[in-house]
Amino acid sequence: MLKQASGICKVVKQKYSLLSYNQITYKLVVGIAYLLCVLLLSLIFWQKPVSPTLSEITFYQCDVENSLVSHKTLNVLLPIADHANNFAEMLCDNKLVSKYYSKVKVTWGGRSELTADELLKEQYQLLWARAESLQGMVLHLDDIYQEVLPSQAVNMFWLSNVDTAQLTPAFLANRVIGLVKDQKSFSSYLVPIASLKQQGFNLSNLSINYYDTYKSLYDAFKRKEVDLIPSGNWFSSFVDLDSYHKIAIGHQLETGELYMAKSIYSLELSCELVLVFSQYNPLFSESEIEFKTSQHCEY
Amino acid sequence: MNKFLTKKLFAVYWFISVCVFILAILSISHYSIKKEISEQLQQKFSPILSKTFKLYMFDKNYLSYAKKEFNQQFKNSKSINKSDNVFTIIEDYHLSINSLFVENQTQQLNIIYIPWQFGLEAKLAQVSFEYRVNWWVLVMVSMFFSFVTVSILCSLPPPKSASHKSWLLLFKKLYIDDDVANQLSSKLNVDLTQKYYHDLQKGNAWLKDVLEDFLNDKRIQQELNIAEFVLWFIKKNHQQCQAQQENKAFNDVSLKKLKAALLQPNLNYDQSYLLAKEPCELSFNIDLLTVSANNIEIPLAKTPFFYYLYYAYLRVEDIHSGWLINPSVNTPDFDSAKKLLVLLNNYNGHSKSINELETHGLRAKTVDQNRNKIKEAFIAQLGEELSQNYLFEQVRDTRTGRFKYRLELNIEHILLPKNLIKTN
Repeated sequence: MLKQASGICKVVKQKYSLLSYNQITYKLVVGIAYLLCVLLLSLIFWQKPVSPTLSEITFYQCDVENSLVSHKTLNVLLPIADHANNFAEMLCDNKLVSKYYSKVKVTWGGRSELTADELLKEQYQLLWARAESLQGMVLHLDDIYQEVLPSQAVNMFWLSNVDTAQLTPAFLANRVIGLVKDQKSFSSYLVPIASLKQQGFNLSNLSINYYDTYKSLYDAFKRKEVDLIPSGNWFSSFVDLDSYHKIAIGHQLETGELYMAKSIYSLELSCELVLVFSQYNPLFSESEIEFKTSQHCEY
Repeated sequence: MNKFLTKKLFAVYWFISVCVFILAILSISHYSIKKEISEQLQQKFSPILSKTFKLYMFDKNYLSYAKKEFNQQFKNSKSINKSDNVFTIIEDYHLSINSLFVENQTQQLNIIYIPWQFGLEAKLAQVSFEYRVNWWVLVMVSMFFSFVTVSILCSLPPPKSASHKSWLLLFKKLYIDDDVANQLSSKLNVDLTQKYYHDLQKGNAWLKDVLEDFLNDKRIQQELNIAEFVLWFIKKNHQQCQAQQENKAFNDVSLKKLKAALLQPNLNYDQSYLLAKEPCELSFNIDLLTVSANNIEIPLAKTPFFYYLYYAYLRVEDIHSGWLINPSVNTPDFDSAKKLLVLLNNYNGHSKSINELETHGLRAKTVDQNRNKIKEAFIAQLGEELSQNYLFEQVRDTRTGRFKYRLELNIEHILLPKNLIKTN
């Protein structure tokens, strides 16, 4: 009994020592407790906003002015994004187009992204593509699409930041060549590779870096990650071509034909579309090569 | 709630707290929106931007078109930009792109920078966000939260003052119950100086007994201010310690008597202390005709004083062992009357009483009357319990069959005047 009693006394003692804190500790404890409360209670209001639905931009769409029809869209596929909206706007403003269409939708995508299914279903009424690749995808292309403008050939050259650059094994021994990863790209893969093969190089002996996009390729060139890249006049917007050394590539680059779906083909409309397409002429004219026009149209 | 906290102060704390909460909730909301949106966009928007500019080469229009298009996408998804929180403090987020090709970022409150790859170049998309604050809900919620927090924090035990703590320490040594010690300590707002404390170490066993006893006594709790008593005790203890060097101050105090004395309304602490001291002492001052019990003066009328003195005289002189047999109703006691008259005559007794004794002798009625007067006077001053020690014991005389009375006190505790005339 006595032991128990003394035990209780000890407990009582401990309780006192707990209570005996001073003014500063008291304020500190209250302050910290308050801040913790504020923090914890505020955290209830942690916001979790629903993220916006976003998608990449792959097309430009406009309504045709004074259209005579409704719910009919002229679908166009281009291999580059540049001037696509300008092209679309011109089509929307066109009187002849307004006869047949209420909307114009210009889509751009890599040349390799076009599928046979899209071709067979005539998803695009106007198509800028290379004959070779289309013919490789479907039989009897002529039954589905009508060529309305022949391919324009442009000159290509190797661009180097070394003045003494030349396509010799000695020069390329410790240099890096930059190409685009897309193995269907004529301008930045097929043509330059063909040029190298023509010079008798074994590709496995060369050091070649591959890049995702043209932009990346030219960025790498500007940073001097690579010493040699394939180029043409149309890339003058990326780099100042004149300040670098050029080595001509004998092989010309076909930029691809303009096709029109057979189901909507009429000479009048095709000529009109070709005329509007001529906004892309500057791309080719810089190559100092004769511009091919449609044989059937009169301008 | 802490009793020291007034309502006004509480209101002030509440108001400040509401402001703090509004600020905190706004900051947290803003920060969370910024962080969450930033993370979401970095995950989603960055690859989309890179893809969008994959086929781009030089057309300046395309840049503004892409920006416009993305802004449209943000706008379209605005409708689902609602938080699923119970209290919608923030409503309608809205994002818009300021620029897609920023090189360096600057810290701004509502601007998010989304890094993305343009070719091999690292670019930043500058996106600004806006939202609407539901102020009404915000203020209500802040008020509620503040009330709860401030209330809880104010109910925390406040710190003890130094004196309070030293009191607690003392009571802890006395093993006094926690709650009681706390209560007492808060009442005793007198510094327990080291000097006093040292003395208390000596006297603590007694104080402990007293307090323990008092704390269990409901009547004492009601009628006595214990804190005040403790204070008195400390001072008294200190005085006594200084006077006597050794602590004997409270060794001769009867707890029972002290309690009885303290409950007596017309006795102060000091008087109670005197009365409670053992042994009981009775002293007579023949010059002033006063009688003192443990140095407490008891007011007595002249005649009862002499009767009382006579009883004391008998006790001290051990005449018939101090017993005085009550005279019979018919035959007054002239023998005792003679002795009494010696006292009355020598010490300026009341003439009326002298006359009566001379003519009628000591009558039973007169003796009873005066004894009763003495008793009443003592009880009026000391209360029944304490008076008993100074009053009479009675026994029936076997020979006469009448009651005989004598003082209860021991001979050595009765101090008669030194020069008292012997009556026989």
